[in-house]
Amino acid sequence: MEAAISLRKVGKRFGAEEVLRDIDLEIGQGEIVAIIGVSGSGKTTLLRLIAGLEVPDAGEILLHGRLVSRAGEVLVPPHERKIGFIFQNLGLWEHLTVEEHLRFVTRDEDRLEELLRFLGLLEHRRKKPYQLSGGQRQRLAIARALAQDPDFLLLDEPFSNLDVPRKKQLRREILRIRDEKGLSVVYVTHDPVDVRLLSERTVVLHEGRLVQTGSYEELLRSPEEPIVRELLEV
Amino acid sequence: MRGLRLLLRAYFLLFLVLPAVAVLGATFSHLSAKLLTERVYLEALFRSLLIASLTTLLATLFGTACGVFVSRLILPGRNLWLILHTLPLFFVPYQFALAWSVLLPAGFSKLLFSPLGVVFVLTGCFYPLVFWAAVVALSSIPPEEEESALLVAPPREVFLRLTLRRIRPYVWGASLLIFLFAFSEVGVPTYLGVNVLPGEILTRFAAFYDLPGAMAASFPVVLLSLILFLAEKRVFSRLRFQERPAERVIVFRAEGWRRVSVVLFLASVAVLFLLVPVGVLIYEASDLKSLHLALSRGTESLLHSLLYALTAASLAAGWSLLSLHFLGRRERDLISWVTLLDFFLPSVVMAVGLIFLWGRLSAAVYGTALLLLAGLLARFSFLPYQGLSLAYERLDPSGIEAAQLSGAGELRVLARIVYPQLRRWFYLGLMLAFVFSMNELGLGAMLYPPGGEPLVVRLYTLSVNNPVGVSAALALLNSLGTLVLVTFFLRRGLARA
Repeated sequence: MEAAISLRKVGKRFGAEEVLRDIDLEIGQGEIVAIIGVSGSGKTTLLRLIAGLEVPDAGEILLHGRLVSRAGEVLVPPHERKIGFIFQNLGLWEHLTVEEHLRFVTRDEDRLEELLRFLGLLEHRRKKPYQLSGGQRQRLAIARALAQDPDFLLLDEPFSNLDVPRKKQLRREILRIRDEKGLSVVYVTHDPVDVRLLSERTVVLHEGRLVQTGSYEELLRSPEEPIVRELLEV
Repeated sequence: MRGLRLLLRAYFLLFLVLPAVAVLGATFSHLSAKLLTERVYLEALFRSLLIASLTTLLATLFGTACGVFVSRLILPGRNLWLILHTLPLFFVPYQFALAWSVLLPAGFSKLLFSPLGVVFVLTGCFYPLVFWAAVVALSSIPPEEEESALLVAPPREVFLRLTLRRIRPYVWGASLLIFLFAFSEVGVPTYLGVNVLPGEILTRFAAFYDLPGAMAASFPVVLLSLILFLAEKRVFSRLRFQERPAERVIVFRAEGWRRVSVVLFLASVAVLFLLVPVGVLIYEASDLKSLHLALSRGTESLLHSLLYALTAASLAAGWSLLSLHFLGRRERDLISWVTLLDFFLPSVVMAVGLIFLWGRLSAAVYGTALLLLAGLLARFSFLPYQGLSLAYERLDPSGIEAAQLSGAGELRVLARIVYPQLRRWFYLGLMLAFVFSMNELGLGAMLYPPGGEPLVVRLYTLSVNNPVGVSAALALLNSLGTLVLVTFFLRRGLARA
């Protein structure tokens, strides 16, 4: 079966620093994949490369078999990739209301209403981000990401800065979205608990290299490098 | 600390509250329906409004376009563009009027010596305000906001629907200031022979010694300033100053003819509004005789200017820092309002109000350099206060509380914890207050003490009946003096703690 996301020998540098090198990775349709690694291991850069927000210096990136980026070139611009991206700091538009956020992305009023209902934001539709609670802001970011009916959902450290009940709620929401919409979910984390409770497959990055992939249990059972156990042990 | 707080409040009352009250009181108590309906007066009012509106429109267009191009496109020599589009701010506007009057052949003189000529010169002097508003606004948008949009819309649409909307309050804030500056400008219109309202006020006072007439003539200027003040306050409240400059900004690559067009546009604006007039001034000032004459006639005035401007800027910046740290929030909010109001009262009107006030309060101040100093403090305390205030609100309060809990005294906390974090803003405010004070013609012309003429006034009077070379050399001397001190402030402000 064709992979939803394919990375082939992808590399990325920022100046003299090599952030990612020789990344080979395939992610299936509807799969939930966690990317784990220490700070500076290249996790966020990997997501940004998939989204087309960064240009790879080496290799190729394919979405549903279509070449979207190759060395030095973004062939398909971000807005044509059907990617929902949730940034670590959410990147909400502070001057727009909840419904204006969604209207920026979609002109389909039915879809807008459905999303507001789906994520419990109906009664907050005329509020601006600063008038929302932390959880509501997070749900607005998810609603915005889903408004374009994406094929992929990329989340950059979605669980950091959340308390335990909110983490649980977000995990439930991600699972619900995946089950109902069937999209592939890739999220970045550095917390093994988030990996264990949500991911179906885990990718371990270290110093820009893909060290190992597999289910949480597999990786813990037979780590190929000590860093894998170190990152995944609770 | 009680004594210090008392001093800070005395400064506030004496140099900021009283002048505003005096201006409003003097203007409203001398209302004259007869004067306000005079044809000459109404024409001057209409002309002032026309000049201010057109200048604002053009300066906003040029400033926004240049700001967006320099901030968002990968262009060669970004720092050079930043400097070229900032430098016009360091020149007194009528220096450029002088330069263009020398350069343009007789056929164009009619156009230059008209309201359109005034608009042209003022646009070139004021567009850097919008330019910087756009640059600052664009650099403070968190990149994730635009990247979120880039995932669903092409860059052009993101820019038009999101980015422009985000920078709009900043640009409007700068545009309002330009409108005010252009409306209250005396030097350029008077030099180019265009009768405008501030010129009318100046003439009534300086030529006819008609203080009541000058006060009455100030009414529409004060009214308009109050309206603009309220509008600016509203704009200010919408700005999200709590944002820190983003760690990275989104830039786009312009290729081919687009890149060439943008570079040509940026270069043309710089050539037209900076390089040509400055080139003319340098050329005219380049003979030794002019230089010698300028130095012999202008050195003393330059020293006066530096003294007034440095004293005013240092007092204003020092008072701002101390007030922010030692006065309560309510007082700080009140200060913020009053400093903004004083800043919005045009200089000729402020001068009239101060003469009215100090003529009654103390004869010892009237006719001395203190009166001019009081005027500079009233008008320009706003600049360091606002900058420092925004930075102070962003400080982590727990850091200050931890210092207080450690047993350090209030002054030690200020000197060791607060000031080092605000130093950059302190020097920026100091620099702005200094530049504005150096170039202030309205207050200088109406309030300078006998024998204490600042250079900007000396230059203005000399330019009427002296060789152009001398005026050009004096103009350059003024700008050079300003730039040397500005460089010093910037180096101090940006030096590592």
